[in-house]
Amino acid sequence: MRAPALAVAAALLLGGCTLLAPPRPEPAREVLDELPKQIPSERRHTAALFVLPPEAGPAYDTIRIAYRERPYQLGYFRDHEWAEPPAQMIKTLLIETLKRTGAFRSVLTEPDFASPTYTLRTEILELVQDYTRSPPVARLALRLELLAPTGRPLASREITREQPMQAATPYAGVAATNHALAGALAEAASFVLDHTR
Amino acid sequence: MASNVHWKARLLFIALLFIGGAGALVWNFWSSSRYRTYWIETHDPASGLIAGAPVEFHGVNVGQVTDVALRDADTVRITLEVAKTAPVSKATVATITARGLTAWGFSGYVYIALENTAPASGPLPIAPGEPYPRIAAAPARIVTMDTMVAQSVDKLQTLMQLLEPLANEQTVASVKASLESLQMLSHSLDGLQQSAEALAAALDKKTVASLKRSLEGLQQVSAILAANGKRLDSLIINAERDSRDIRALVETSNSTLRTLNAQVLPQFSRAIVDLETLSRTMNGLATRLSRNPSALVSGTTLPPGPGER
Repeated sequence: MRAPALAVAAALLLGGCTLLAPPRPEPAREVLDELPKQIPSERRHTAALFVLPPEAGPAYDTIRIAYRERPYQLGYFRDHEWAEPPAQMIKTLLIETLKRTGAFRSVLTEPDFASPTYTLRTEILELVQDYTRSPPVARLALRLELLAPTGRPLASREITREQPMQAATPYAGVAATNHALAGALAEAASFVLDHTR
Repeated sequence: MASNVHWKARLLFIALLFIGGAGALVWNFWSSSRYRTYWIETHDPASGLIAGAPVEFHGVNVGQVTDVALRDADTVRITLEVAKTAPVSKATVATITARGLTAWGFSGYVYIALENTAPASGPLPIAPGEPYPRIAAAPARIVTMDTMVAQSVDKLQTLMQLLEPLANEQTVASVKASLESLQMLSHSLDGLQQSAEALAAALDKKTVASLKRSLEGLQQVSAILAANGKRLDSLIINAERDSRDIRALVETSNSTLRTLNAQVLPQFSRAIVDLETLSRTMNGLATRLSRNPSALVSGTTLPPGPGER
């Protein structure tokens, strides 16, 4: 009769220690919001463009910020997170960039549809802070595929950008990722304009 | 002896001359006793009528024209001798008539035609102060080929003057286009005729019978429709009322669809995305808990990343 009572008391003491431990600080929320400084532009306003939400593999379809210290290994920062999933932020920036080209009658995304229109598919292949190099770099790789109004693939391109980081810190990595993404968006706009003339 | 012969010859010549003169007198007297002289006065031109021209009564030669002379500027006096046997009377009318192609020469001549316009009504009297009886004149009928040609040429010239303003290039082009259109119309009519013939050929007895049956069926349908007129009217009224209701329903549906499209669909899309995110998070949590169930109470700790130490 006494042994069970002692076991329950010990469990409560251990759980109380755990529950009464001081809470960890909230992780810092980072965003991707840098647009290209120079966006290619054409005054056509003839076609509509439908931008599908960017797709990402499970490794990058998360708000956790990935880093790499050793080849073939991926880690996530403890105290830094993306404010939104990167695919969502990249979609917003991509639509804004394509709108600013002035080449399209409208740039749409889900749930708005327009037909006939061109369609742009985007896949995030890599979005990582690479600490295996010195100085470390932020690396971004995107795959773009443009579809004709009939649904037939028109063209595809892989865009890879590396931006050296100013310091070996998560925030410096986020800043470098923003620069790399701005360059990738300008290249993506050129690619779309070249194949929708 | 010679003088005797000469004397005899003179006597013979004188005798012959006397006999000839006597014969001429007798012939003259006899012939003048056979004919009677008449006058005709006409205001028509007597072109081609000359002395010696024949005089016919109802187509029979009964005398000749002896003189044609102008009485004044527009009156011609014609003197003619007509056999006393000819039934000239008060009802006789003379017409200057041409026969043949022309009024002159071997291809035609002009003569006087006498006709009674009424039954004979007594001999023609001599008017006072005139030497011969006058036969009434009818309008001349001198219509020969040359006058006809001349008249035709005049008419043709008049016609050409009338047509000249119309005969410009535009009119000719228009007439040409009209002719081409007529030609095309003719071709179309030919095609139509062929089609009609083909249709007539295709309409064999079976087809005609089938058409007849169809017509009878149509008549029956029309009879049924006529018999059910009131019901049809009611049906039509109901259909109109229903169509109004359906229109209102469609408008409401459109409004609802627009609302769905503009408001509900975006929210639904975001909800789907959130569900997907939640599903992935739950999957990760389930994986971690299956590896370390105590993490449910104690939580998990990530190792610090670069720059987080």
